[in-house]
Amino acid sequence: MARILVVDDSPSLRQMLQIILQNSGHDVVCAEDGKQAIDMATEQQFELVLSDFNMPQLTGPEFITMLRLLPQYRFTPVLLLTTETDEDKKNLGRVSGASGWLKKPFDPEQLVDTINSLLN
Amino acid sequence: MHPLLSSATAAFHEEALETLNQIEDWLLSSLESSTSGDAHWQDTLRLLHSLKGTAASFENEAIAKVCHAIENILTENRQLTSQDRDGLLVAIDFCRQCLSGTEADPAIQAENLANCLARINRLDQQNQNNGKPPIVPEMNGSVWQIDFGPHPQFFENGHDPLRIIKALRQFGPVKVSVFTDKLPDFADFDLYKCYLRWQITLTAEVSYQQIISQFDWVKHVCDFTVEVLALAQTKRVNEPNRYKMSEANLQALLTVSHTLQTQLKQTFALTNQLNQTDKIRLTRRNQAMKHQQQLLQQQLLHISMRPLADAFARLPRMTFDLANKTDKPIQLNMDIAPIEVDSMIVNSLIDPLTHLLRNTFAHGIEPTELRQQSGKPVKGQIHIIAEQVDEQLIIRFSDDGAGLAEEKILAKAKQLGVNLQGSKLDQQLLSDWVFRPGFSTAVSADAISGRGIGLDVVKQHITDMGGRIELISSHGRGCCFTLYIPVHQALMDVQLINVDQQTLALPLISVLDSYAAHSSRLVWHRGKKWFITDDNRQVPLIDIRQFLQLPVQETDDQSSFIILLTTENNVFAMKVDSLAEQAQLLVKSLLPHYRHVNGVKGVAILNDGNIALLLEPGKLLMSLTIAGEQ
Repeated sequence: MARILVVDDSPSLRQMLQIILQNSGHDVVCAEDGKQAIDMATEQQFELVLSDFNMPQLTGPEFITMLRLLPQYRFTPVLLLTTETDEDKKNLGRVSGASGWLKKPFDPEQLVDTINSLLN
Repeated sequence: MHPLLSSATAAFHEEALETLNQIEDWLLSSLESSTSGDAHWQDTLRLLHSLKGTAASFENEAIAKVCHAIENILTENRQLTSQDRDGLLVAIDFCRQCLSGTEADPAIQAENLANCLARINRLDQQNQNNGKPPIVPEMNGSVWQIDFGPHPQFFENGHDPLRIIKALRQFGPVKVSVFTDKLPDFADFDLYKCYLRWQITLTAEVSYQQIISQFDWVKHVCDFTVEVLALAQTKRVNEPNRYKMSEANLQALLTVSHTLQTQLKQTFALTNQLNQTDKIRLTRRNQAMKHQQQLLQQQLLHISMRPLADAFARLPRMTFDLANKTDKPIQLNMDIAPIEVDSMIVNSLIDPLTHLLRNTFAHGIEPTELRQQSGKPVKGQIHIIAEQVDEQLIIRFSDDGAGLAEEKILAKAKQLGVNLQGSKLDQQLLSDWVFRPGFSTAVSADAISGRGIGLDVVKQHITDMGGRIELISSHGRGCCFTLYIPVHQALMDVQLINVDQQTLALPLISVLDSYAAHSSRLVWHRGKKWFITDDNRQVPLIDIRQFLQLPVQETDDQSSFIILLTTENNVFAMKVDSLAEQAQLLVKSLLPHYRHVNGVKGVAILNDGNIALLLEPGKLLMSLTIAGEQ
């Protein structure tokens, strides 16, 4: 079991991720946008972060770039959630410091498997 | 694409696969003889050129580009190294894959194409791969070696080397070696830096693409190389036609046709009870229906036929790949009769033949050193001969390897609880043992001979087809497997001839030439008639009328025809009344009680539903010669 931060501007997706991850025994905290997420991440330590790619204000990669500036998040696995999978987007994610991505729509079991493998 | 073109796509696929198979055959055969004929070279170029054109018309840019690249290489470079050929074979596999359309992602497809082209274009300048097969993304390997060297800052952004190794392990068993040479002194050790690198040997049939995709998110923070140690078997796609009927459909239709035939017969019988006028009218309709039913039956039987050679089509490529994998150079010689047989037979033969070939590599042919010691040619020889003799297909599969390993068989038998020591050990007993279920002398299941599949499975396959398998082994000199498969009908190219208003058929393969009879080419010599061929040879002349016991008419020499026939060891001429067309006809064997009729092989079913006796030139000559001497 781990503390996971979910960042997504869509309430329904936040809810879905929360249900899936809580059901598999994780502690889940949600943020509506990148700014709120950075605030939460400084207040408490998370072992894994899931972030949407396209968000208003801060985009996913912008949020991750800021998160990586916090010393306590240098080594934390961060996954991007995205529907677009072209090489440019992937590069953007890689440069910002994401550990990988999950393609939407995702299969709940696959999501849990991926997350558990990242948490070892 | 234009709608007219798209409707012909299936035909294009079939044609393209056929062409690729031909090019592959040429590449494989040019390995055998370093001086591949100029004619074949030209043929291959022509094939490539026409495939390029067709592919472009069907908007298959990838294939067109690959063909263009291969064409350039072949034009500029007449001497192919074995490495060049590996590259070209991979390119052919790539084209096959394009045709099968398994890669739906256009981005990946484009990358694959670029890699394939780069690989081909490098062929003539760059030979620095040290004999290892070249790598292209879609290539399938069975053993891979991956060198993985994470940069010191690898752990940042949440990456973990163990996760990559675990991901690779999902494909199959891995052997991992760690290198610690970069570890610093303890005082300089930084907990957050990665100092280790790994070498991973992965045994799994995966593609290069699948492996490197595991490094997708870390490729900017590590160095890695992927090399293939053993290539995977590429399957030859033989049935591209998606509209082809399934075996089950075909069998169902054949049954329908047969039922129709039976019901028609019953209707015929009932017709006889009617009054004269009705009887005539109904009979006429019945005749028409019967004719349609015969056409249906005939078409169905044609569909159900496939060239016998299809069953052997994969073997040359398999031999090539296995020879690479096992370091046993082997020459495969095949002599397959050009006949078509029931497609069920062809399908059922593929697996046993594949297994026999693997078996020969694993147990039959000795390692090169052993062969040299026993004075054998370095290249192992496998001979496959397939022919139809009467109602049987006979396939001889022989090698010049070690023969059955007596000691190993005895040991294995003992292990299974049977002590053969002391009993009379003849070859028959040993051969019987290798066909027993669960019998395999291979120490461990390996990638070549398959996992635990023994010769008993081959035997089972053959028995299921109603056939039998025999094994003759000679210690130190090799093995010969003989497969006997019953066939009841086959398609054959025949030359039809007319004699006294009868139609007869001759196997087209025996027909060398035909002439209008002219007395200047006929001579009498030693009381017999001879025919003078184009190259001034004198060959015996027989008269088909004599065989049919019809009156021989010496006078109509001028109006008749001469057919020049060849048999296994003879050439002779035969006089016939007239020549009819050449056709591909369904040939059936005669019932057992007619089997002793010499010179007649069976019957051919003509397109109008009538039958023609199928003559057997070899026996024909023999029976007439003997009769003449009496």
